[in-house]
Amino acid sequence: METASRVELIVKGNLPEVPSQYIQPPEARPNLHYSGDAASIPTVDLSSSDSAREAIGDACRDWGAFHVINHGVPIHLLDRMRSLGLSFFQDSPMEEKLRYACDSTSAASEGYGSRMLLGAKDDVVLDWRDYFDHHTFPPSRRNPSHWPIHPSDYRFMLLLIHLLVLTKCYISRLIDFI
Amino acid sequence: MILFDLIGRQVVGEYGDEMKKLAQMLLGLISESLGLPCSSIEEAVGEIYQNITVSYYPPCPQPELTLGLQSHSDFGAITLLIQDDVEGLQLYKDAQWLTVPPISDAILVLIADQTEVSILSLIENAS
Repeated sequence: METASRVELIVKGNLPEVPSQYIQPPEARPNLHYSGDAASIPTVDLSSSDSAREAIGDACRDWGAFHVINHGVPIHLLDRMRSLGLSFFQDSPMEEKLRYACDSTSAASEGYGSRMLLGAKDDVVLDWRDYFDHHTFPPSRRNPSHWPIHPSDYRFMLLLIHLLVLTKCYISRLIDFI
Repeated sequence: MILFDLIGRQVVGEYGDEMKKLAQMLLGLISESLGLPCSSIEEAVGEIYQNITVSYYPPCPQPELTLGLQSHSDFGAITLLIQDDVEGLQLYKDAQWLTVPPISDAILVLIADQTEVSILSLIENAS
Protein backbone atom coordinates (compact mmCIF):
# COMPACT_ATOMS: atom_id res chain seq x y z
CA MET A 1 0.00 0.00 0.00
CA GLU A 2 1.05 3.54 -0.68
CA THR A 3 2.58 5.52 2.14
CA ALA A 4 0.59 8.54 3.29
CA SER A 5 1.79 11.07 0.72
CA ARG A 6 -1.25 13.15 -0.12
CA VAL A 7 -1.40 16.79 -1.16
CA GLU A 8 -3.98 17.41 1.54
CA LEU A 9 -1.42 16.44 4.21
CA ILE A 10 1.08 18.96 2.81
CA VAL A 11 -1.58 21.66 2.95
CA LYS A 12 -2.44 20.75 6.55
CA GLY A 13 1.28 20.96 7.43
CA ASN A 14 1.15 24.72 6.65
CA LEU A 15 4.51 24.75 4.91
CA PRO A 16 5.42 28.22 3.62
CA GLU A 17 6.65 26.70 0.34
CA VAL A 18 5.58 23.73 -1.73
CA PRO A 19 7.96 20.74 -1.60
CA SER A 20 10.41 20.66 -4.51
CA GLN A 21 8.91 17.56 -6.18
CA TYR A 22 5.74 19.57 -6.91
CA ILE A 23 7.55 22.49 -8.62
CA GLN A 24 7.10 22.53 -12.38
CA PRO A 25 9.99 23.46 -14.70
CA PRO A 26 9.68 27.17 -15.67
CA GLU A 27 8.31 26.45 -19.17
CA ALA A 28 5.42 24.39 -17.75
CA ARG A 29 4.32 26.80 -15.00
CA PRO A 30 0.90 28.41 -15.25
CA ASN A 31 0.51 32.09 -16.02
CA LEU A 32 -1.55 33.40 -13.12
CA HIS A 33 -1.76 36.94 -14.49
CA TYR A 34 -3.43 35.73 -17.64
CA SER A 35 -5.41 32.53 -17.41
CA GLY A 36 -5.85 32.30 -21.17
CA ASP A 37 -8.73 33.10 -23.48
CA ALA A 38 -11.95 31.19 -22.95
CA ALA A 39 -12.13 28.15 -25.19
CA SER A 40 -15.22 28.70 -27.33
CA ILE A 41 -15.95 25.01 -27.56
CA PRO A 42 -19.39 24.13 -28.91
CA THR A 43 -22.36 23.12 -26.78
CA VAL A 44 -24.30 20.29 -28.40
CA ASP A 45 -27.97 19.69 -27.55
CA LEU A 46 -28.57 15.93 -27.54
CA SER A 47 -32.36 16.15 -27.51
CA SER A 48 -32.36 15.58 -31.26
CA SER A 49 -29.80 13.10 -32.64
CA ASP A 50 -30.20 14.41 -36.17
CA SER A 51 -28.98 17.91 -35.42
CA ALA A 52 -26.54 16.64 -32.78
CA ARG A 53 -24.76 14.35 -35.25
CA GLU A 54 -23.62 17.18 -37.48
CA ALA A 55 -22.67 19.44 -34.58
CA ILE A 56 -20.64 16.63 -33.00
CA GLY A 57 -18.83 15.95 -36.27
CA ASP A 58 -17.82 19.62 -36.52
CA ALA A 59 -16.81 19.75 -32.85
CA CYS A 60 -14.61 16.65 -33.19
CA ARG A 61 -12.86 18.07 -36.23
CA ASP A 62 -12.31 21.56 -34.79
CA TRP A 63 -11.81 20.90 -31.09
CA GLY A 64 -11.84 17.25 -30.04
CA ALA A 65 -14.03 18.48 -27.18
CA PHE A 66 -17.54 19.83 -26.63
CA HIS A 67 -20.18 20.30 -23.97
CA VAL A 68 -23.42 18.30 -24.13
CA ILE A 69 -26.77 19.39 -22.71
CA ASN A 70 -30.03 17.42 -22.56
CA HIS A 71 -27.69 14.44 -22.22
CA GLY A 72 -30.14 12.23 -20.34
CA VAL A 73 -28.03 11.87 -17.20
CA PRO A 74 -30.23 13.07 -14.30
CA ILE A 75 -28.94 16.39 -12.98
CA HIS A 76 -29.48 15.28 -9.37
CA LEU A 77 -27.04 12.42 -10.04
CA LEU A 78 -24.38 14.90 -11.20
CA ASP A 79 -24.95 17.06 -8.11
CA ARG A 80 -24.93 14.07 -5.80
CA MET A 81 -21.69 12.72 -7.31
CA ARG A 82 -20.00 16.12 -6.89
CA SER A 83 -21.09 16.48 -3.27
CA LEU A 84 -20.13 12.89 -2.42
CA GLY A 85 -16.67 13.48 -3.87
CA LEU A 86 -16.18 16.70 -1.93
CA SER A 87 -17.48 15.09 1.25
CA PHE A 88 -14.97 12.22 0.99
CA PHE A 89 -12.01 14.60 0.70
CA GLN A 90 -13.20 17.26 3.13
CA ASP A 91 -15.26 15.44 5.79
CA SER A 92 -13.59 12.05 6.23
CA PRO A 93 -10.63 11.81 8.61
CA MET A 94 -7.31 10.89 6.95
CA GLU A 95 -7.12 7.48 8.64
CA GLU A 96 -10.55 6.62 7.19
CA LYS A 97 -9.49 7.79 3.73
CA LEU A 98 -6.28 5.76 3.89
CA ARG A 99 -8.32 2.59 4.40
CA TYR A 100 -9.04 3.02 0.68
CA ALA A 101 -5.46 3.87 -0.34
CA CYS A 102 -4.61 2.73 -3.85
CA ASP A 103 -1.60 0.61 -4.63
CA SER A 104 1.05 3.07 -5.83
CA THR A 105 3.16 0.33 -7.43
CA SER A 106 0.52 -0.41 -10.07
CA ALA A 107 -0.27 2.20 -12.70
CA ALA A 108 -4.05 2.51 -12.52
CA SER A 109 -5.11 0.96 -9.24
CA GLU A 110 -8.45 1.70 -7.64
CA GLY A 111 -8.78 3.90 -4.57
CA TYR A 112 -7.44 7.02 -2.88
CA GLY A 113 -4.18 8.32 -4.26
CA SER A 114 -2.15 11.22 -5.50
CA ARG A 115 0.23 9.89 -8.15
CA MET A 116 -1.99 8.55 -10.91
CA LEU A 117 0.09 7.07 -13.74
CA LEU A 118 3.24 8.49 -12.18
CA GLY A 119 4.02 5.25 -10.34
CA ALA A 120 6.68 5.12 -7.66
CA LYS A 121 9.38 6.94 -9.68
CA ASP A 122 11.28 9.63 -7.79
CA ASP A 123 12.25 11.90 -10.66
CA VAL A 124 8.80 13.04 -11.81
CA VAL A 125 7.12 16.34 -10.98
CA LEU A 126 4.01 15.59 -8.94
CA ASP A 127 0.49 16.93 -9.53
CA TRP A 128 -1.11 19.17 -6.90
CA ARG A 129 -4.06 16.82 -6.73
CA ASP A 130 -5.54 13.99 -4.69
CA TYR A 131 -8.05 11.65 -6.29
CA PHE A 132 -10.30 8.67 -5.78
CA ASP A 133 -10.51 6.23 -8.67
CA HIS A 134 -13.46 3.81 -8.90
CA HIS A 135 -13.49 0.82 -11.27
CA THR A 136 -17.06 0.56 -12.53
CA PHE A 137 -17.08 -1.60 -15.68
CA PRO A 138 -17.08 -4.46 -16.67
CA PRO A 139 -18.98 -5.98 -13.72
CA SER A 140 -15.99 -8.21 -12.92
CA ARG A 141 -14.04 -5.04 -12.04
CA ARG A 142 -16.89 -3.42 -10.09
CA ASN A 143 -16.62 -4.03 -6.37
CA PRO A 144 -18.48 -1.37 -4.36
CA SER A 145 -16.84 -2.57 -1.15
CA HIS A 146 -13.70 -0.83 -2.47
CA TRP A 147 -15.60 2.49 -2.47
CA PRO A 148 -15.97 4.82 0.49
CA ILE A 149 -18.72 4.70 3.04
CA HIS A 150 -19.59 8.35 3.63
CA PRO A 151 -20.44 9.99 6.94
CA SER A 152 -23.96 10.63 5.58
CA ASP A 153 -24.31 6.88 4.87
CA TYR A 154 -23.56 6.09 8.52
CA ARG A 155 -26.16 8.65 9.57
CA PHE A 156 -28.65 7.09 7.18
CA MET A 157 -28.00 3.59 8.51
CA LEU A 158 -28.36 4.82 12.10
CA LEU A 159 -31.68 6.39 11.17
CA LEU A 160 -32.78 3.12 9.56
CA ILE A 161 -31.83 1.10 12.66
CA HIS A 162 -33.59 3.65 14.85
CA LEU A 163 -36.76 3.34 12.75
CA LEU A 164 -36.58 -0.45 12.88
CA VAL A 165 -36.25 -0.39 16.67
CA LEU A 166 -39.18 2.03 16.95
CA THR A 167 -41.29 -0.16 14.66
CA LYS A 168 -40.39 -3.23 16.71
CA CYS A 169 -41.39 -1.47 19.95
CA TYR A 170 -44.64 -0.40 18.38
CA ILE A 171 -45.44 -3.91 17.12
CA SER A 172 -44.64 -5.53 20.47
CA ARG A 173 -46.93 -3.02 22.21
CA LEU A 174 -49.67 -3.83 19.71
CA ILE A 175 -49.20 -7.53 20.45
CA ASP A 176 -49.39 -6.79 24.18
CA PHE A 177 -52.60 -4.91 23.59
CA ILE A 178 -54.13 -7.78 21.62
CA MET B 1 -35.40 4.18 -4.87
CA ILE B 2 -35.22 7.41 -2.90
CA LEU B 3 -33.88 5.51 0.09
CA PHE B 4 -31.20 3.80 -1.96
CA ASP B 5 -30.20 7.11 -3.53
CA LEU B 6 -28.97 8.16 -0.13
CA ILE B 7 -26.21 5.56 -0.10
CA GLY B 8 -22.97 6.79 -1.66
CA ARG B 9 -21.91 3.52 -3.28
CA GLN B 10 -25.26 3.27 -5.03
CA VAL B 11 -24.80 6.78 -6.43
CA VAL B 12 -21.41 5.87 -7.89
CA GLY B 13 -22.88 2.75 -9.51
CA GLU B 14 -25.79 4.63 -11.04
CA TYR B 15 -23.54 7.46 -12.18
CA GLY B 16 -21.29 4.88 -13.88
CA ASP B 17 -24.22 3.20 -15.62
CA GLU B 18 -25.67 6.50 -16.88
CA MET B 19 -22.30 7.79 -18.08
CA LYS B 20 -21.58 4.53 -19.89
CA LYS B 21 -24.88 4.80 -21.76
CA LEU B 22 -24.03 8.38 -22.74
CA ALA B 23 -20.49 7.42 -23.81
CA GLN B 24 -21.80 4.67 -26.08
CA MET B 25 -24.42 6.97 -27.58
CA LEU B 26 -21.76 9.61 -28.27
CA LEU B 27 -19.37 7.11 -29.90
CA GLY B 28 -22.32 6.05 -32.08
CA LEU B 29 -23.09 9.63 -33.11
CA ILE B 30 -19.41 10.32 -33.83
CA SER B 31 -19.24 7.19 -36.01
CA GLU B 32 -22.35 8.28 -37.90
CA SER B 33 -21.05 11.82 -38.31
CA LEU B 34 -18.19 10.25 -40.28
CA GLY B 35 -20.65 8.35 -42.46
CA LEU B 36 -19.78 5.06 -40.72
CA PRO B 37 -22.13 2.52 -39.06
CA CYS B 38 -23.10 3.45 -35.51
CA SER B 39 -21.02 0.73 -33.82
CA SER B 40 -17.79 1.37 -35.80
CA ILE B 41 -15.74 3.20 -33.19
CA GLU B 42 -16.94 1.03 -30.31
CA GLU B 43 -15.94 -2.10 -32.23
CA ALA B 44 -12.56 -0.63 -33.18
CA VAL B 45 -11.85 0.37 -29.58
CA GLY B 46 -12.71 -3.09 -28.25
CA GLU B 47 -13.67 -4.19 -24.75
CA ILE B 48 -15.07 -1.41 -22.55
CA TYR B 49 -13.33 -0.45 -19.34
CA GLN B 50 -14.80 2.32 -17.26
CA ASN B 51 -13.20 4.20 -14.38
CA ILE B 52 -14.70 7.08 -12.44
CA THR B 53 -12.09 9.42 -11.02
CA VAL B 54 -12.98 12.13 -8.52
CA SER B 55 -10.23 14.77 -8.41
CA TYR B 56 -9.61 17.09 -5.49
CA TYR B 57 -7.34 20.12 -5.89
CA PRO B 58 -6.45 21.46 -2.43
CA PRO B 59 -5.50 25.15 -2.07
CA CYS B 60 -1.82 25.70 -2.93
CA PRO B 61 0.50 28.16 -1.14
CA GLN B 62 2.47 28.83 -4.38
CA PRO B 63 0.06 28.23 -7.26
CA GLU B 64 2.43 29.94 -9.71
CA LEU B 65 4.83 26.97 -9.41
CA THR B 66 2.50 23.99 -9.59
CA LEU B 67 -0.11 22.33 -11.76
CA GLY B 68 -3.16 20.45 -10.48
CA LEU B 69 -2.72 18.06 -13.36
CA GLN B 70 0.12 18.17 -15.88
CA SER B 71 -0.53 18.51 -19.61
CA HIS B 72 -1.67 15.22 -21.06
CA SER B 73 -4.11 13.55 -23.40
CA ASP B 74 -6.43 10.87 -22.04
CA PHE B 75 -5.48 7.38 -23.21
CA GLY B 76 -8.99 5.89 -23.14
CA ALA B 77 -11.76 6.12 -25.73
CA ILE B 78 -13.79 9.02 -24.37
CA THR B 79 -13.75 11.16 -21.23
CA LEU B 80 -16.94 12.60 -19.75
CA LEU B 81 -16.15 15.32 -17.24
CA ILE B 82 -18.23 17.31 -14.80
CA GLN B 83 -16.53 20.28 -13.17
CA ASP B 84 -17.49 22.36 -10.17
CA ASP B 85 -17.90 26.12 -10.65
CA VAL B 86 -14.19 26.91 -10.34
CA GLU B 87 -12.28 27.36 -13.60
CA GLY B 88 -9.04 25.47 -14.05
CA LEU B 89 -9.27 23.09 -16.96
CA GLN B 90 -7.46 24.20 -20.12
CA LEU B 91 -7.35 22.86 -23.68
CA TYR B 92 -4.41 23.23 -26.06
CA LYS B 93 -5.46 24.54 -29.45
CA ASP B 94 -3.60 26.47 -32.13
CA ALA B 95 -0.46 26.67 -29.97
CA GLN B 96 -2.14 28.16 -26.92
CA TRP B 97 -3.82 27.03 -23.72
CA LEU B 98 -7.49 28.06 -23.53
CA THR B 99 -9.65 27.96 -20.40
CA VAL B 100 -12.81 25.86 -20.56
CA PRO B 101 -15.51 27.74 -18.63
CA PRO B 102 -17.62 25.31 -16.59
CA ILE B 103 -21.29 25.15 -17.63
CA SER B 104 -23.54 23.96 -14.85
CA ASP B 105 -25.56 20.80 -15.66
CA ALA B 106 -23.61 20.25 -18.90
CA ILE B 107 -21.13 17.41 -19.38
CA LEU B 108 -17.81 18.03 -21.08
CA VAL B 109 -16.91 15.43 -23.71
CA LEU B 110 -13.23 14.90 -24.53
CA ILE B 111 -12.23 12.66 -27.41
CA ALA B 112 -9.41 10.49 -26.09
CA ASP B 113 -6.48 8.72 -27.76
CA GLN B 114 -8.13 5.41 -28.61
CA THR B 115 -11.02 7.06 -30.41
CA GLU B 116 -8.72 9.42 -32.28
CA VAL B 117 -6.56 6.52 -33.47
CA SER B 118 -9.65 4.45 -34.33
CA ILE B 119 -11.14 7.28 -36.39
CA LEU B 120 -7.91 7.71 -38.34
CA SER B 121 -7.68 4.01 -39.19
CA LEU B 122 -11.41 3.73 -39.97
CA ILE B 123 -11.19 6.66 -42.38
CA GLU B 124 -8.05 5.23 -43.95
CA ASN B 125 -9.71 1.84 -44.48
CA ALA B 126 -12.84 3.46 -45.90
CA SER B 127 -10.96 5.46 -48.52
